[in-house]
Amino acid sequence: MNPSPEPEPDPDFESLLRRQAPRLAAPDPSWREDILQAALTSSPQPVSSDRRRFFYRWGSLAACWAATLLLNWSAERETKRFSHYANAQAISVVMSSWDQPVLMAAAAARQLKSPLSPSAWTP
Amino acid sequence: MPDLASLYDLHAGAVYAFALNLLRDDWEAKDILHSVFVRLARSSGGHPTRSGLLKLTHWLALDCLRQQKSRASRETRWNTESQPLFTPSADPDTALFDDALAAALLILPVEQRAVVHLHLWENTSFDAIGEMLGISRNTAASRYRLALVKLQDHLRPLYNEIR
Repeated sequence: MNPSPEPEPDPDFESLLRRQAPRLAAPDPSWREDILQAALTSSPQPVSSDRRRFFYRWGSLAACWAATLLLNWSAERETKRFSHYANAQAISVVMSSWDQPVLMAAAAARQLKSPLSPSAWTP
Repeated sequence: MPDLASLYDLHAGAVYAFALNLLRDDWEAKDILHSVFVRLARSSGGHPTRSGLLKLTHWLALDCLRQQKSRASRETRWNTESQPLFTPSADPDTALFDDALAAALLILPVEQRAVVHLHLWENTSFDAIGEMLGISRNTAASRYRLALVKLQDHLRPLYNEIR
């Protein structure tokens, strides 16, 4: 069984619709100036392209300079922080080495006096 | 590139009518007309063609439709206050047919309406329509045929009377 053919539009009806073309609604004539004015003011002006290039060139230079300053400042800050940290560590190492004999002596004394220490059990 | 004013005089009517047929909103159609010419002014060089401008119009109209939050309210508004798609006529028969055709076009999906508009009223070939709307030639032709049959069915009583 053959599939049913797709219905075809009537050519007279099609030509009737085609005749409607000149009757399509047109934009309000008062819009013309507004739209053209808006379009022209938004278009890139040739004069401004030189100015824009000038701003791009000097702007990028200024941005590079600012980035360098920022990097310098940041590096300096990190170095300072690290040096503080390094100093503090060095001091603690020195102090712990000073404490070592004192702590050892105290431990020994505690061991001698304590009733729980094995030395106290022996007669 | 020709100056903007002469491009406006050449193409503004087609852009506006196409946008109005797709959106059925005078202000939105005006917005699209505005956007098309602003983009045209911003574009550097080249020779804008009618099909290029209509392609942009179609793209902007679809974007506008997508942005509509409430499609139901849009449909309701279409049914209640349909925008005149054709210039008002003093002849009552012509005015009646205009209204009936404008209302019948609303039963078509936007994709079919776009194809009908471009083929009937812009004399655009199905190949060109396919390229403009990003569909195949056969899809464009099929949409057109289906749309025309629907329109004919819808307008049959009036069409028989006219004939």
